[in-house]
Amino acid sequence: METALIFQYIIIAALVLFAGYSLFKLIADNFSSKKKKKGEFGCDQDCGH
Amino acid sequence: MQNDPSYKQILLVGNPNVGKSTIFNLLCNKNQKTGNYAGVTVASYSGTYDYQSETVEVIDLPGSYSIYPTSEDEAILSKFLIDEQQKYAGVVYILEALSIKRGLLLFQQIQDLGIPILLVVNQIDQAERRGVNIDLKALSKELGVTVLQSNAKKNEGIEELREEIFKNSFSRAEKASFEVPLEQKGLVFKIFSATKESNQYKIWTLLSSDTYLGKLETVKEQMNDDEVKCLVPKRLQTQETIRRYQNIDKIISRVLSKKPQFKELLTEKLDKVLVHQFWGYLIFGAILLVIFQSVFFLAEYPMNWISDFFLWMSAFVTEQLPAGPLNSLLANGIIPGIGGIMVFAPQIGILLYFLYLLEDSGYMARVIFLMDRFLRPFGLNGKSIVPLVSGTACAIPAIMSTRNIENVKERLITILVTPFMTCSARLPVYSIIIGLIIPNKFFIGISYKALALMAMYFIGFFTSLMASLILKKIIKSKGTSFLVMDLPSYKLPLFGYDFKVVLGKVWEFITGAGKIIFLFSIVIWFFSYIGPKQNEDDFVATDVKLEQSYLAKMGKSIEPAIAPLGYDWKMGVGILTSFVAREVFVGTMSTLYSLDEEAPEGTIIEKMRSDVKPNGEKVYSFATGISILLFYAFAMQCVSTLAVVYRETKSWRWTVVQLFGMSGLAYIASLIAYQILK
Repeated sequence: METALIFQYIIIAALVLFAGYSLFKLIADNFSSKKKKKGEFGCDQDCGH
Repeated sequence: MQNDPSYKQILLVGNPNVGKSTIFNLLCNKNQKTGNYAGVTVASYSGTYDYQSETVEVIDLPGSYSIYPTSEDEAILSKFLIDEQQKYAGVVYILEALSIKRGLLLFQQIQDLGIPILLVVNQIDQAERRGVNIDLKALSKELGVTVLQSNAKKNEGIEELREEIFKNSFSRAEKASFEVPLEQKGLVFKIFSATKESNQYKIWTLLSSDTYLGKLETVKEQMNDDEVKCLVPKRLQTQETIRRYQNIDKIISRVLSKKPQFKELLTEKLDKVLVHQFWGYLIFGAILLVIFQSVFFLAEYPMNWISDFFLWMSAFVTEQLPAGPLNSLLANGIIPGIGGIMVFAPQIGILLYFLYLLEDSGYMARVIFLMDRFLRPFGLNGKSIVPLVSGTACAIPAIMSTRNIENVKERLITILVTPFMTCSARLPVYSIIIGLIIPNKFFIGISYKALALMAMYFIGFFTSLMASLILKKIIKSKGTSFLVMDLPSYKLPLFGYDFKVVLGKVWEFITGAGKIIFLFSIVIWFFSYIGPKQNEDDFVATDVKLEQSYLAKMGKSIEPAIAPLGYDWKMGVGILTSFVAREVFVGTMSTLYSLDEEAPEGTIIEKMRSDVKPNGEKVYSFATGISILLFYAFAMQCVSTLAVVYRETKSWRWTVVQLFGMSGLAYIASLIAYQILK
């Protein structure tokens, strides 16, 4: 196999892993509750920070 | 108080719909949602701005009429005012010139809590137009605070407000305006002496409140006193309100003068027709039709430009990059995927712009009024209407806005039925399917497509009504909440300001939906590029035909479940990916048709239109199209909405019931529609 092609497959593998992980995180983050940092002003999780 | 002299936190407080969020946006250069009706802000929002040498953090709080909360959004205000008193430099209190009497009640309560305050009288020009003149100097003297005037809609008075905040012009009242009634004075004093609390009125608010507002540990012990247990909090609140209004009336008689008005104002003239029990509904229907017609016709040219741009990009990448998997990923996966959804940005922008103009003009408040009258037979009334109406833009803020419904069961029902309302994310799906199955014809100047889109909005609306009727029988609720709202006077919308807000919303759509579609298009392309091995030595086969790919294999494995609905495997993949967000369906179809080498050249809609089954039948027949439209009208295809339902109900049970209830209804409705129409 050509080096250029191998290089392209490596990029694609990285992109697919990144996309899969990001989609999983995107769905999971929706359901996780935001933790308030210490000292942060008391506005709630919908606060426009 | 804060330690850093260059940093200051302030609260924006006032009655609902007095312009707090507009002032917040102007101060902090933000685009927070505003509307010319009460209850738009139901959470706290924060923004900052720099002025001279200091940074100011502004917290925009939900509107309230009193310090005693009756709903979750009002409780946020009370929590900030009492619990977080040490954190902020002061309160900027917004008073609407036309409802000065009502606004002064909460103002005085805050003042009596010993909180530093600065008063802004907003929309003074409107009061003048109605012959009401307010002597601001006299008002300042009466209340003992700095009084500023503003016209937030015209960006007037904002610089002066920044200057006064910088100068720390917040002042505390020298003397409480409310005196504790004699009967409770002894008790208040007893608690006051036994605790370290420095403010007697704070003790009174704890006695008068149904809940321990300030959660003061020192007072808690005293609250177990038998004398305290005999008190009826609501009665104390009423007592306080009556006394305060007697005092406020005196102030008003000294600062306000009113010229007699003989001329009927435009608002009154318009309301005779716009909230009429017959003409009101007819005009509303006509307005909707104009909006839907515009969504198709005004957006046509920009949609074509965007479509052509992405087609050109795809061709450009194909030519410029060496042939190989990366070329295919970009030219056939990512670019068509993103382009497929970006095409609909003009339609969403036009729809939102019209909705904002209607809100801004004050007409949306009339729609809420009209709907209240209409919805009562369905058992859904009062405050549920505001979330339903705002659900036409997006279900997420709409579900959050149910926080101002005090009755827990009514709130739950509203949360469960709001996602049936047609949100803007459904628009790309409806638009593409309507474009495929509805002819480009007109009926007395009204486009069939606009009528079909309007029908989809009505289907969503009536389904939410029917669902609420059923849920009322299951979730029995004692008592009902009533909608009490001001009908604001009509205003000329701020076309430029609303346009800016819409641009921000469209950009949010592009980046939000674009991000998801970008990720999905990589995954979809990957599984369409590889397929089962054809030689013994290979691990997998690459660059295979779409029909021989793993994606097709996966799609075909779910085909038995979706074939009765009239869907092929591609639509099945679209439905699965669009579980994250409805608009992903269009992006997925765009990527899939771009990957299909056998599909003809052209735009996504042209490729979909010419797609045929092996037996020569159209893939997107009328029956299939209706089936898809109904599926997206009913199915809960939005993870963010599910998450917000879970957050607001704090119950997995109701979240799962909603997911399966909506998806089940979608499946059955699509099945029936396809089987009848095919």
